[in-house]
Amino acid sequence: MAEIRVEGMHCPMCVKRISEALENAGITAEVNLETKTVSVADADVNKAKEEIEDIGFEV
Amino acid sequence: MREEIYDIVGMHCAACSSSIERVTRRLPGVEESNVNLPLNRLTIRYDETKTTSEDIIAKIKKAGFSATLKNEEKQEIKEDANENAKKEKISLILSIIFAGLLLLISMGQMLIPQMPVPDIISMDTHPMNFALLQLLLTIPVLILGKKFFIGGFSSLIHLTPNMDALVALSSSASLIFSIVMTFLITDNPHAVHNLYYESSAVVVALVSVGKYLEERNKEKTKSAISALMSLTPDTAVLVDENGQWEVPVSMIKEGDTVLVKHGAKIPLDGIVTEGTGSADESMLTGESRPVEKEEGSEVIGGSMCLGGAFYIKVTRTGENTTLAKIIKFVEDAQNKKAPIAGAADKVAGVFVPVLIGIGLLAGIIWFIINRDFAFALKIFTSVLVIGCPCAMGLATPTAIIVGTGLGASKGILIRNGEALETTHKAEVVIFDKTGTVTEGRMSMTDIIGKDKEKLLSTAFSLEKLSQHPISSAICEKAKEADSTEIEVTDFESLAGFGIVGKSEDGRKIFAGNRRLMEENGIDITDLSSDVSSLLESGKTLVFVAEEKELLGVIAVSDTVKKDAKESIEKLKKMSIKTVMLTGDNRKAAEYIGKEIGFDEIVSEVLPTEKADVVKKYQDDGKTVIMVGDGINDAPALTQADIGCAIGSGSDIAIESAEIVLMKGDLSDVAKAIRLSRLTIRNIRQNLFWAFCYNSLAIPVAAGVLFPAFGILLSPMIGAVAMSLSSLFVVTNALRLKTYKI
Repeated sequence: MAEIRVEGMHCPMCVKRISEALENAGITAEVNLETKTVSVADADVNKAKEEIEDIGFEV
Repeated sequence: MREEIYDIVGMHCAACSSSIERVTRRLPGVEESNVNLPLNRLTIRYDETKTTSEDIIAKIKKAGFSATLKNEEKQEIKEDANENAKKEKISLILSIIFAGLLLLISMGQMLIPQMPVPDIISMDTHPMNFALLQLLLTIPVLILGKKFFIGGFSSLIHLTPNMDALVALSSSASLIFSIVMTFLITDNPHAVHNLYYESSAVVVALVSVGKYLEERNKEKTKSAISALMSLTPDTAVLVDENGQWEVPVSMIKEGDTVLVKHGAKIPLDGIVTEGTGSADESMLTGESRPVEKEEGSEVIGGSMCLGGAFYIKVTRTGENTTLAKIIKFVEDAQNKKAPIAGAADKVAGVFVPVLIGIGLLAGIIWFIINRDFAFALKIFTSVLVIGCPCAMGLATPTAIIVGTGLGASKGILIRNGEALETTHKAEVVIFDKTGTVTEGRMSMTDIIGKDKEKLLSTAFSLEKLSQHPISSAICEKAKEADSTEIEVTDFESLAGFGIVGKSEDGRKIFAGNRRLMEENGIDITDLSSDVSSLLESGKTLVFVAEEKELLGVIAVSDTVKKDAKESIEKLKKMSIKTVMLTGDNRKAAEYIGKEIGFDEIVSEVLPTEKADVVKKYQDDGKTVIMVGDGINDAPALTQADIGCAIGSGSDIAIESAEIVLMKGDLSDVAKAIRLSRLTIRNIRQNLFWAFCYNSLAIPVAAGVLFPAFGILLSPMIGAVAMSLSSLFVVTNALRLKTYKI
């Protein structure tokens, strides 16, 4: 499991967007608003980072 | 370089706005991108050769939001349409003014001798000025009406003359003749009496008026669709574990939970999961009474929440919503042409060349008779103008548009003009019993057997694996009685017979009708007296057996719709034969059928045989309407001349039917037939009028009455008559709206 830190996460809506985008990309992820992190399998890290950036967050 | 403003929906916090700025800045060619969170607005400056507006919108959508360009194409198209309408109106008014002035000047001097006319343009003293003034006034009218000339002459060149050709020909003929006469005035001042400028101009002006009114009326009837389209809101309140968010409706997916508040429009089709309220579904079903909604109720996107508030789970989105389907239905209906309209068009197509022929012939004959060219020309143009079959072309489409619109507003959707026509010919209406004549929800009424518990338990265990309404009825009662469930293996459902399986100890168990029992050699004579009495009261029986032993029989019965009897009465009064179709056994079917008053009852029909029954009536040469709830009646609905899907709520299989009765109200069948009869009658009235009018007017215009009575029709009167005729037809069609069906 790898953790990606997403600083820009503010609100539950952001969380939703991230989890949806990752879901659509076929990546299982856990998004945590408190710690501002996204946990994904090691193999998915790079793809996940791409997706998150695509939505407009900085990783 | 382009600077555009977009409206963004779905932003909540600064992170959201930064996201949008970030992703749009990444697009090639974007120089600047700024989001205003409180105003929900994005201002972006970009090189349109490197990035397009669609790219921007797509990128924003991918980020999880929705964007629309502030000066959206849709709005542009609408604005253009409004612009055009305004321009048309101005042209029309100008044409009328000029033509009016022209009339005043040309006719005034002849009709009102005392009318003061400035000497300089007086017909008697300065004929040339008089003529030139008229020419001057005519030209603007003709220019404003240039579309008739362009269209008309081009159709002549292509040898497919249309109605505009008639207008163009007659107007041009009058104009050219008058110009020639004008030149002759210098030699012979009396030529001034042969000026026909006003005919030329007035014809064009009047036809323009007619067309304008036609367009106006078409717009009014098309408004039915735009009214439907405006029913869905743009945003809705999405609810998830994190809270409530207002999001664009397009972002909501099946399975999402939406909160519907009092006064809000329900965004999509769904099922209520929590809360209660009432909804106004009138725009969709024509049902004006508010419908109570509670947990488990279905709601339709587009209806309005009147009182209370509730959460719904979305079941259908986008094109699949009931509203989207209705819109498509109505659009299709108005776009496709009915056969009767096709015939009218063909007639009009032949008419025009024939008319031109008659005009020429009449003109030539009169010229030969009295050598008066002006007279012959007048005859020619009169015939052309008066004979115009505009009314015929309008008769059908207008009535159909009004008719289908009227139906839609009452919850009766008719797929197209053809359906409307065929419906009025209906002689036989076949109703499928379950779900149509009856509510479709059965309830268990009797249970007869030695060991009732075992009986119920066995039945329950089998029935819970089946989808039939009978099954739900049995399961419901069984659950109430806390009946024991046993594991069933090798479950099989045999349509028309029942269900079978193996119980826990490997014994075969059955639940089904008499045929199932017979097939498997199970003797049911022990219960025959109970069976008879149950059947006499119209119940449906489920025999339950284990191996060769009959455990007992369970009776279920269906509730008949309240207005069934009345609705069937109505149909019978319209001289329509009513037939009930069902898979039930004969006794039960006859009991219910006679109660309601059906002319014929066809029972014990296997689902696969339904279409054949329909065909049998058709083979007799009858036009058949099949009414079913769509789900398992599809083949029969398709086989029938008119398939009529009846459904309550949003559960309608619109695909296989030509008519959809949204209210699930049986009396709507009679209403639909009445509507189609009224519409066809209206169309016939229109066509008859158009035909009579033309048949009378043309000979008179050709001068047939002249030798005897001195009656002639000037081209002007012809133009007036023609416009009135078209107006009459359209108004008559609009009259349909006032009908009570």
